Amino acid sequence: MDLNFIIGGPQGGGIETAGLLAVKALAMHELEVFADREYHSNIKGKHSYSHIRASDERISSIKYPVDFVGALDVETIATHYKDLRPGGVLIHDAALLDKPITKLPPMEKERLERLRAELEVGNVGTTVKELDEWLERGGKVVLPFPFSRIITERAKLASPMIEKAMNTAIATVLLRGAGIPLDTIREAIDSLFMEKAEAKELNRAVASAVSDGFDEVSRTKEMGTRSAIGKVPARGKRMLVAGNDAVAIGKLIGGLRLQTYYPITPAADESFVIEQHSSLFDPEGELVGSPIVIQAEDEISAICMAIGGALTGVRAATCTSGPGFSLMVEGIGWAGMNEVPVVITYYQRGGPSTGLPTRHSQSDLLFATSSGHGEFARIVLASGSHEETLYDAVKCMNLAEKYQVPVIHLLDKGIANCVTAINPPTLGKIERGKRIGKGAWEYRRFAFGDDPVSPRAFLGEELMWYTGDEHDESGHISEDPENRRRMYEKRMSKKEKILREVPDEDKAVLFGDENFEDLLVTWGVTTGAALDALTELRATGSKIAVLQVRMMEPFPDGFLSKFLSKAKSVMALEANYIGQLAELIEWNTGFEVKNRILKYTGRLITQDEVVNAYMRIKGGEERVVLTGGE
Amino acid sequence: MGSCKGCKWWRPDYFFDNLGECEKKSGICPENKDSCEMYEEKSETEFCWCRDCRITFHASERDLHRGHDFFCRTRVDQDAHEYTSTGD
Amino acid sequence: MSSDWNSGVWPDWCPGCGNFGIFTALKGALSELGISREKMVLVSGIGCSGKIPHFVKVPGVHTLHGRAIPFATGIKVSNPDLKVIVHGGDGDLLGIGMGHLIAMGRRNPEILVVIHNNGVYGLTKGQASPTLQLGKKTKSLAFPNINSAVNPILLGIASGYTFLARSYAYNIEHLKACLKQGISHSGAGILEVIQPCPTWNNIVTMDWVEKNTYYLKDWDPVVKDDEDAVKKAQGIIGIEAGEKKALGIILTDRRKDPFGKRLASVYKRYATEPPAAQQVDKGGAPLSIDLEKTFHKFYIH
Repeated sequence: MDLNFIIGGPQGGGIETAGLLAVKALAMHELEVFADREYHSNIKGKHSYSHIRASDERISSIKYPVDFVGALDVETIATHYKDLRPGGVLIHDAALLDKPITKLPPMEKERLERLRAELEVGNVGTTVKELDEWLERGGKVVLPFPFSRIITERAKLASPMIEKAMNTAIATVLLRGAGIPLDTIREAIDSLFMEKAEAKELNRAVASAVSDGFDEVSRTKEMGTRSAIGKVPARGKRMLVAGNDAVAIGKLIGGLRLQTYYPITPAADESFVIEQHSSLFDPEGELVGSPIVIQAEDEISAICMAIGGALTGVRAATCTSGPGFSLMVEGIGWAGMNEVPVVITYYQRGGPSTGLPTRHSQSDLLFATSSGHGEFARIVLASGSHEETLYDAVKCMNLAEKYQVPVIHLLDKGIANCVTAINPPTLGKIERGKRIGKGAWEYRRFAFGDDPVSPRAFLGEELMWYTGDEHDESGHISEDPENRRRMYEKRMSKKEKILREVPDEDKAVLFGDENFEDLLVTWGVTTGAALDALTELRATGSKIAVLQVRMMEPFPDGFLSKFLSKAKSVMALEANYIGQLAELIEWNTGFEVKNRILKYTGRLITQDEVVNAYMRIKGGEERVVLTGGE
Repeated sequence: MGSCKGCKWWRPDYFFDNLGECEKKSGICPENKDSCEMYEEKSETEFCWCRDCRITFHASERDLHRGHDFFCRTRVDQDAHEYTSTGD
Repeated sequence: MSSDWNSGVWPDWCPGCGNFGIFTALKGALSELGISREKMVLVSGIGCSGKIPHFVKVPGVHTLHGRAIPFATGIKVSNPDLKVIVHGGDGDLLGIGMGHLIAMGRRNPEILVVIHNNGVYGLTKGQASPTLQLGKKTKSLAFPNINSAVNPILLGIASGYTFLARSYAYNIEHLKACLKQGISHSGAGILEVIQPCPTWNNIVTMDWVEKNTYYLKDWDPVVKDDEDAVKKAQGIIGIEAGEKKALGIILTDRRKDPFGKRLASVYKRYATEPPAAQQVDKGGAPLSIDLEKTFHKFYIH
């Protein structure tokens, strides 16, 4: 089975909680889940939704068209009725029936104009009821459900938590429609409202009342026949995480001791999670670690504080998004010059400038790999799934200390906000890199040697100097050309060392048939859609493989060339305009990446889009621009 | 009588320290290494300029400059800024 | 002996530069405070004043323009055992880095910020700095300055600093005493040092300082209580409104918790084991963290 549904409503009205409740219940039902959260740069009132997918197979993307749309308001109906597959079900409060469809002040005027035009062409009418009838005529199923009546009459709510009640109500109907038993829904409620007794009771009552109502409305059965979720075998312990959570957990396991940040979307949640879990206990209940989180006055300060922390020997990191990273660049240059192990978790969002603050993008790849004046070694590692993100958060700290370079963990809004279930992490290893030996009588922080990485001492241990100027082995300013050459080469030769030592699986990963003809090259969260499409395409006989590039700097040109040289055609798949990974490959390897599948609407690339785009490329198109999703 | 080196009136040029200004004379003078009738022994000043180390130092560090040539003051060309390039 | 504190790197300041005075007083203060060398960190911005860490024989971090305070804050919060002093110019700390200066006052970490105030951007040829007064025209300016000057002491009060002082680069004993008090103060401090720039600033000369400053007498800088704090603030506004610049300790407020204490109120382990004192691994393996307990809320039960 493969179930896709949308649950939408006004932003700030608890629609995220409804989505999370649904994901949680589906995961508790032992299903694989993947959920995308789409929201505006707004606190309250604009349209927001979750696209939730559940399957008994591994999934790592979303897919259109959807089976159900659960709408809390008219705007959701108006925005998403087109997303339904033939026979798909639209559920909304029966109280909305006589509302006008196009009287939507929060809706952007461009969208409203499109909506009006669509309704006019279809000769639909002006009320929700008329739209419902039109949809039914077109083979969709509409289920006006008396949510508000059930909540007020049956759940007999003493509490004024209307928003929570409405969200739970709609989630309950969708879940029941998908075949999830009430007990599981209640368990999910208990888990979600673990620390809020009053909310828990309220939501349990609402779920029960709505569930009773569900059984009484005969047409709800049509939902069940369409989703057909059976009981799935148990999968063992799993964790439900967004990418922000995965990074936080990875950093906490990996020994992070100082996190600095300045509030920005979609990065800030990571720091909240670290703060909330800053007491790390061992199995005996002993506190074994307690990192601190500092909210800086700006991103410049955030990176500089993290560097300061790293100089004292603590594992230090910061997290940000494009606009913040733009400000951090001077600090990263200083870290490059002074060989400071510092980690920057970089969640891309739509740019340039403030751009699309809450929407997805992969348009900062070239910026991350080349930001800053001058030349210096850095590592840019891009994760393609939530599980990988968690492990990479640990790896980035290891790499930073092992090679004494700034490390950019390059992620995107897709990873940051999408929610999925992962296996609990196994504790890997911690590599702290070269440290000073005992009895070094005259310590030189940047001592030349066979290895470009000099033994490290921390502030407080030895005499040492750091400077953003070119410096000698002790860290004092030096403009001597011979010293300059040697110091420059010491820093830059780390690139070769890194390429030599980092394992192949951290550079790039090939999925699919070794004897491929078409090679789909991708990165970041888009990897998930590529992999889901790969399964679908291989089932129909396509000789395709997916190459996920992970290490963007230093660029593993040699390793990639092995795959590129074998491909009959290479196509890049990424969420930006020019095909930044494609450019990076061409620049570094000389291989032409002629075909590019691109998306820059701020919405995720979906499985169906990849399949269609692949077909279009096979049909002769060179460049395919994707536009799906609201 | 002593030479310019030990004289309180002598201000060697910062760059060309064989030349300088004598507060008792006008114009640029070469440093007089022999004796001079204007000579007056320099007294201890809080800060001195050491010709050997080419730094300004404080009286408390005089021991570090034993045997060096140091002066009460140096002469800085008032137009020195015109010859300076930006440095940071 | 303050010479023990010379790193051996040649100080490349112009002859007569006020930085030599600050350098001398700083070495004297470090020597008299008896702090062990490795436990000190001098953090600086850029420009002429930014070079000072290289000349002093204690660990030094010469950072970016305006960013010395964030670097210093990161160092101090991670390892509170270290004595951290920031040195920066007036352009550095009151111009490009002004936001950080204000933020530091709000946090009150035990860091002393020494502002080398010479009224100009020396190493880029003497442009007007934020402390150059309106209408003044120093050597390299084409026109008189059309910006008003900022007052770092008043800014310090507004930002919550708990130690404020002003001294003069060539009064070594006075400056040393201010440095010692500032370094020993348990909170955020600003020490403004009036510093002649013989190359660029032909206004603030030694002679000018002589005529335009005075040493505070009969002023008790120590804040006793809330009421006294208001009185002190009003008094300081009065002092700063005067035509001549007051030299001396202007404010000492020990009532506010330093940042370390504030962190310890949130992170229970901070006081005994700050980040730099914590283990992160056991011989290459991560610490044995109880994942299910620590990350309880993420588990699907």
